[in-house]
Amino acid sequence: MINATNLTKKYNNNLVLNIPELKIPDGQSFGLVGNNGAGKTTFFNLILDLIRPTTGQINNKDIIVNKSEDWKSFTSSFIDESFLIGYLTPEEYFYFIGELRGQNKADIDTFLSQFEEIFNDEILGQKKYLRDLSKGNQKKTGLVAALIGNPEVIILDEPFANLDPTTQIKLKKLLKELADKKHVSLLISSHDLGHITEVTDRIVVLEKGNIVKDIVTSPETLKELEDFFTI
Amino acid sequence: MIKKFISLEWKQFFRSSYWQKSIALNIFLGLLALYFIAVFLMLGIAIYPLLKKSLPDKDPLVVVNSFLILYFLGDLLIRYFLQKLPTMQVNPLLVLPISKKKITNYILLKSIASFFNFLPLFVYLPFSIMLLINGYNTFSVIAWFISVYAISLSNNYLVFLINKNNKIFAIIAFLLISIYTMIYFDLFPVGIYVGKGLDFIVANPLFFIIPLLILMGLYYANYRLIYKNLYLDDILQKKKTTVNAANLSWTENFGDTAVFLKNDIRLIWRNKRSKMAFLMSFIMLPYGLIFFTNPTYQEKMPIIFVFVAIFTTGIFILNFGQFIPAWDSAYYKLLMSQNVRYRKYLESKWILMIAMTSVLFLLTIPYVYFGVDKLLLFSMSLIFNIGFTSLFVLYMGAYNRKRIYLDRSAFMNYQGTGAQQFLLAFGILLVPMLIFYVINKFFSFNIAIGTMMFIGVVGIIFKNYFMHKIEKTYIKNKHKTIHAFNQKN
Repeated sequence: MINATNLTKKYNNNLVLNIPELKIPDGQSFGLVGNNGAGKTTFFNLILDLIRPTTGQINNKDIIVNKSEDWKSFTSSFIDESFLIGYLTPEEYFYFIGELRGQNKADIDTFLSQFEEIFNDEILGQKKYLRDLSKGNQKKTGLVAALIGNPEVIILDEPFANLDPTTQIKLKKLLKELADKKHVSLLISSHDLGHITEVTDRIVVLEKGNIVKDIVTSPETLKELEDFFTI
Repeated sequence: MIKKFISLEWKQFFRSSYWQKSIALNIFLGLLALYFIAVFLMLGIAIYPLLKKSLPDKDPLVVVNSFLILYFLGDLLIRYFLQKLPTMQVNPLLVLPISKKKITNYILLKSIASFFNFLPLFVYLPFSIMLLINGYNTFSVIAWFISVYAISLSNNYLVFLINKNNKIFAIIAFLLISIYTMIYFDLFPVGIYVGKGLDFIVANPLFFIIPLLILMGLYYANYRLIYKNLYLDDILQKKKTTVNAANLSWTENFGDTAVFLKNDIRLIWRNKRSKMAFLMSFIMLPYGLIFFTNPTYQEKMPIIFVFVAIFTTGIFILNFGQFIPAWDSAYYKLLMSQNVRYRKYLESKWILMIAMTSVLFLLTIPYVYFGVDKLLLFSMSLIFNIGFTSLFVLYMGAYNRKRIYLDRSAFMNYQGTGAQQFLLAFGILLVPMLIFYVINKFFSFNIAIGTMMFIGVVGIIFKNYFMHKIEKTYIKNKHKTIHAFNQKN
């Protein structure tokens, strides 16, 4: 369970995130929606202890994230391209992440074989460095790498952006399968209301750092969200 | 239109991170430029009277002309390594209603405004004035000046052709090597012929048109090349590199650290900047020859040998170590959110540093030719650098706050260098010299060596303790470092 209490983040007295209380139970697939600057990435960065909260704390399975690093062994994430190592080939990158997560080369090869469809022969065996791949292929690499080593908490910031339609549909299927697993908590954010309502069980809407909606996803959710964002 | 371009350039220049470099660095670069200007200026003024005095029976202008070929070749070489291609942010301009002709001409003309094109003026102009003072024909001098400057500018455009086209590079390289061989073995006096050509222009001023035509020809060749390739996928595209995958399985011997070690080796080898830091370590190896062959140092300043020894064995620690952890700045967030033990990450860097220091030490062993005391000095430096310098640099890295762009050009690149780096470099080199100097002065050479080795050995014995402290410092500074590495100009 991820539990945020009294969480705020200020930059120069500018309050960018203010979450008095938010609980994400184990196994839930959780969607975060909001316009630019709503605080989505800030929230994810706080969970990953990449930035420090101004007040409050986040517990990831009862571990206070900025006190201990033990949450790292079961948490994985892909926030943006700065999570990629440009001078490695995709294979080398997967092996690198794999080694950090206790997987050997053979494990990774087996793991990667299930993504052949998504990779579409453009990622593996290309003899190209990650920095020379297209944005979309970089993103695919980062997303797949975030799934290495059976993590129990997966955090993906805007996983659908920059992907081609085919991959978006495949990714949606993949994320739904992950969401169905009892022990995997999936945290994603998206600007695509359709995609996110399909994939997640619960959607939280952020506006200027505050939670303004917290809905259990149902067939009516998409309509509700569209109405909310139509001004 | 040109006015608009210039205003864009202006903004690009002044809003770039260039000005956010530390003041110390800007002053340093400014002084370097002033130094070169001063040297060239003095050369330009002094060369005439000097030649008059040393070769009284020869015409100084003829002598200068016969040597100019060497200057031109050197100039070409330096430009090849240092001068950047004249690119501007053309991508957004391509879709706007601006003719490609204008863009191309602008790019090419802009390239003239380079330090390398102003520098020769500081020789040519004073020398020309000296010629006029000494009663040379005015037209001849003007023709000479135009000719030599046209050749300098031709070098400017030649370098771009060389840089952009491998075939031309091969041809030019072949020509240069043959010219050099001919000059070196006196097979064919190229220098004399180039000199004679310039003498001819001095005698017949109207022929200054020939170098000008060469310049125009090269300009046109550049123009055609750029104009033809003014597409997103051609000239403006960064070169894509093919992978050089080496088998690094031997790193497995290092256990837990292997995963980082592999990465660090790839980091060094696959990025311009880090590769240069690595290769520079070997270039400095012969540095000691300058001092060891000169008996003056032996008698008067033996302390300089300490400097040489620490510097040649520790240069990799300086060049590579002082940018830890900034080498990984581009993906620091990844490392910080992964299941990573800081200790292993740091250990990998440490192993790299001591491995390179040991290799450099082995390569300095031939210096034993200059005396066993030299070997002793290098051994002392090895132990001192491993036990003290490497750990100290690692510790200082916890306060490193500047992002590094791995893919930017490596030569004379000071991006990511702050006052801290300069202080660090001075400290690492000067402090051991000072310690050595004091002990050597009041006790003896051997005690001084012994003390330095002792410091190194203490560092090695208590390495785990120090590593633990260093790791703690890194963890304490984690968020600040992430924040700093996120700042892209």
